[in-house]
Amino acid sequence: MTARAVRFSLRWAALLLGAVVLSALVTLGSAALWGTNSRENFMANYLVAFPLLAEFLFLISGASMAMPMLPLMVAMGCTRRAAWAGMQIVTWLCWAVLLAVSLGMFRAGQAFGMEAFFPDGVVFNGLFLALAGQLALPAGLLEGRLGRGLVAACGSVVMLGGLILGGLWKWGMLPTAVYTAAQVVCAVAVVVLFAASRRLAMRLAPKNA
Amino acid sequence: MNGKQHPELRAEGLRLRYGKNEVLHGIDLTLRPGCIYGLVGRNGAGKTTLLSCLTGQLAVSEGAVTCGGQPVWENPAALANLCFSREIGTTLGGGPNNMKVRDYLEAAALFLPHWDKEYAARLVARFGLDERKKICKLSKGMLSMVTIVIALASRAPITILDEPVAGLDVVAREDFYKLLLEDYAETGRTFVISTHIIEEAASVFEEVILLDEGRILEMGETDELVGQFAAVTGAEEAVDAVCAGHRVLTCERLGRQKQCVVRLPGGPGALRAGGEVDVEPLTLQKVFVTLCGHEEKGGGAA
Repeated sequence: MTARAVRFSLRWAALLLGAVVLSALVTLGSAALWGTNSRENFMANYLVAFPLLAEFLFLISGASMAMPMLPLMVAMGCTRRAAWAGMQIVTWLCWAVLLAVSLGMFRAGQAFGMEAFFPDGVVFNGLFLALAGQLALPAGLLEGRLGRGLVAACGSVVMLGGLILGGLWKWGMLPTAVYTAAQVVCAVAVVVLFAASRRLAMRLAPKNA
Repeated sequence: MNGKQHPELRAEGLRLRYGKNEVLHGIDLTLRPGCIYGLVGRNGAGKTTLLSCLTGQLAVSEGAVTCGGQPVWENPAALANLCFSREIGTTLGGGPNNMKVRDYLEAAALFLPHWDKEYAARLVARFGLDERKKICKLSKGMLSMVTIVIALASRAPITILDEPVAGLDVVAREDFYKLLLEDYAETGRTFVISTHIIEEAASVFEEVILLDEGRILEMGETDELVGQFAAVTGAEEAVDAVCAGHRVLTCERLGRQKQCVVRLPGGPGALRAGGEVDVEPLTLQKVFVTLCGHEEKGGGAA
């Protein structure tokens, strides 16, 4: 049953991942062909901003796509446990792909000699990406656009906040202890949201799915 | 497939509460294999809630639901025997409503283990459904057709349809009942159909479940249940004389005449009907209105 849920969820995630990978390739191709001077090549800017955009895309699209898919799976006779597990597997798979793409883009930017406004800490970035993914699932399970929008907006704020913290730390404006504490908070939030989404999934009732 | 191999669906002491509000009050129910059940009740009686509990789509507060002796809740083996084809809403944004009919049916094929792809394709062609259309673009009737395709093509031993004929025109409704009976004759599987259009479906239901305010009011063979009710019409004194000693459910005056609905467990033969009164059998719809039309109840009980 979980395998079926993975297959079903993957179908929707593949659209998102395809879009992310394609835009990464276009950006890199543009940098290779026309250089990385952002004044001459508009796309070069994306080398810097890409990881943030990818994560944002993941959060918003994940929330809107996940929303009815889990109730639909349950309405079709899938167990909640399997549906939730399937979506989690796909969420973490997306996380791995996006992290790899983000890291690749970041390294490519560095190789091209660009100063990236992006924290060096891969762990920190990865944590925020995981947090975005975990926010997408409960956001998707909430009924009503307002609830989903609020959770997705919270995710965006958290993500931007994380990036700003990373930047401040990189420029020496934030003590390492505070930066480390932010990472711990982020990790705890991932675990809490992981548990919360499971709890929510076990309680949901498909209404007119 | 044949009816004897199909599992039995059973609910014992089923209660459902939303906070302090109890919506299902200790329901005991056994759906035997190879039977077409009709579930009727007024709006808000708890039909969809009951069906959701029976199929493990809603957690019960108390009681147990089993299919073939196995608990239904979060049990893939038990859920494999069930298909609950519920109404598709069009108002929710995103998700399945943005899916094409084709994708929706593919999702059903993925999760319903007995799915008959060829049968689904035949039904889609018969109903003239455009598989490339998005769910949110379908009319109410077309949405009902999608739920019917899912229910019938699921080939699930216990197939439950919630308001399958809502929005369908009379020709499509006739077609649905014809398809249902053909499928039933071929597979002998159990069907549970919830509907508000009782009169048309009455001849299809072998057994009927009357749900009222979260309780089962009546459950039994349709003919046997309907046969217990009769309308006695005539002059007031004559009607009162004939109905005396019987359970009178409703009374109303029709000009100078009086009509009473009586319940006769032994059938209309139990009445001492004379030439001055007419005794007529009730339809299932009339029985339903008599039992569930609370505001009309008890007005003139003799």
